[in-house]
Amino acid sequence: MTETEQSQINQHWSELAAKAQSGDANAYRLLLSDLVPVIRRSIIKSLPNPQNADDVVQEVLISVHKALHTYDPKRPFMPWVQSIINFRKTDYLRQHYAQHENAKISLDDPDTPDYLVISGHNGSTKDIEEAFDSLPDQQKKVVQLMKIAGYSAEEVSKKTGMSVSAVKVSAHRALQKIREKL
Amino acid sequence: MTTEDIVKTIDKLCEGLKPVKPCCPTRNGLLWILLVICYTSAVAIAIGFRPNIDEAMARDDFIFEMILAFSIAISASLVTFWISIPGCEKRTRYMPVPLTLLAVQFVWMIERLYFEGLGHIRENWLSHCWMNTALHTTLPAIAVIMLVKRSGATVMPGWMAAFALIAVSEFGWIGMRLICPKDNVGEAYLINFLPYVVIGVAIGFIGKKLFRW
Repeated sequence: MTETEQSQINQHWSELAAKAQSGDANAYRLLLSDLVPVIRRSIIKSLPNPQNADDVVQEVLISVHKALHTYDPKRPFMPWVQSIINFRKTDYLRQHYAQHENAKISLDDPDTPDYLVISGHNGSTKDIEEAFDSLPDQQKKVVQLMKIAGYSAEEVSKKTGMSVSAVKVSAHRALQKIREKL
Repeated sequence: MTTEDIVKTIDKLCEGLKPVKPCCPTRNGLLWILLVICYTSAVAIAIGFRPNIDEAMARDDFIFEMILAFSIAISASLVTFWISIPGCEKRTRYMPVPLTLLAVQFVWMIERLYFEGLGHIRENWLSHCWMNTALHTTLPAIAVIMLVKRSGATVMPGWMAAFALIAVSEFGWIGMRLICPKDNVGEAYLINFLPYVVIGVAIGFIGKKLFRW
């Protein structure tokens, strides 16, 4: 999109917002409908679960409604709405990571689940073996080298030809799969 | 949540649309400043100006302190209202103004503390200083909270709470200087500023919740 087109869209939205401020519901509907894809595009990349994007889109729409009186039609529309999008996105991320189960897991040292190291686990050794066998070959190899043979991620990377981050991600996903199966 | 839900939300919002008047944060800020100046003057007149006001007004250091506090109060008030609306990124460039002036005030206080010491603090400071401080600041604080909550929708609640606190405390401090005859560091800065430090800590915890929308 060229700068001129962007400026025209901005101008169009600014006019719609001004009409909405004077109570024009049709202009308001048009404005909010236009904003939905813009908001979605703006947030989707930074959300941990893209399937929750519509929740945040809805939050932003409600916030735009609540803050409509703070928009000055003499000023550009996009920076105003973008700051609301960023505010709600940050709010969502803060709430999301505040929940214990969503806490960020370090890929540098993916924790080995307790049931793999504590003898009082729920699954038997056979269950673990079955879960391990069900892994794709590449993940199986990574787990074998990293978690059983004790190689570091860098060493596994050299042995398998994968990148270090791919090794870490693979190990993390494999352990998660094992946990789900147990 | 599906696309249909979003369409329903838009329908609901359109149904609930009422004409609104665009707010002007600068006008609200100036209105608040005017209100606080009138209120502070009224409280000072009601309690009574300090007996040595003429002598104080003739002192350069007193005038400097008052001008400095007034500059901080005015700039912090305007910044508070400017950042009370979304899309205020351009106005955030003014945020260093009250912060720099506040730093100057702290340096001035430390310099005075080093050269003059704390000075004598009266025994009834709790009933005298703190009560008068509360009288000077309660109404302006309520007014600023109501104004920014009603006419604003900040995306920087923490910063806005901090600037509102600075503005209220500086106006309150000016009011205290008009009625409190003691200008030593112990009373003028320690006792008269201490309540704001306490309130500041509390605001730090509740600021974001207070201005949530």
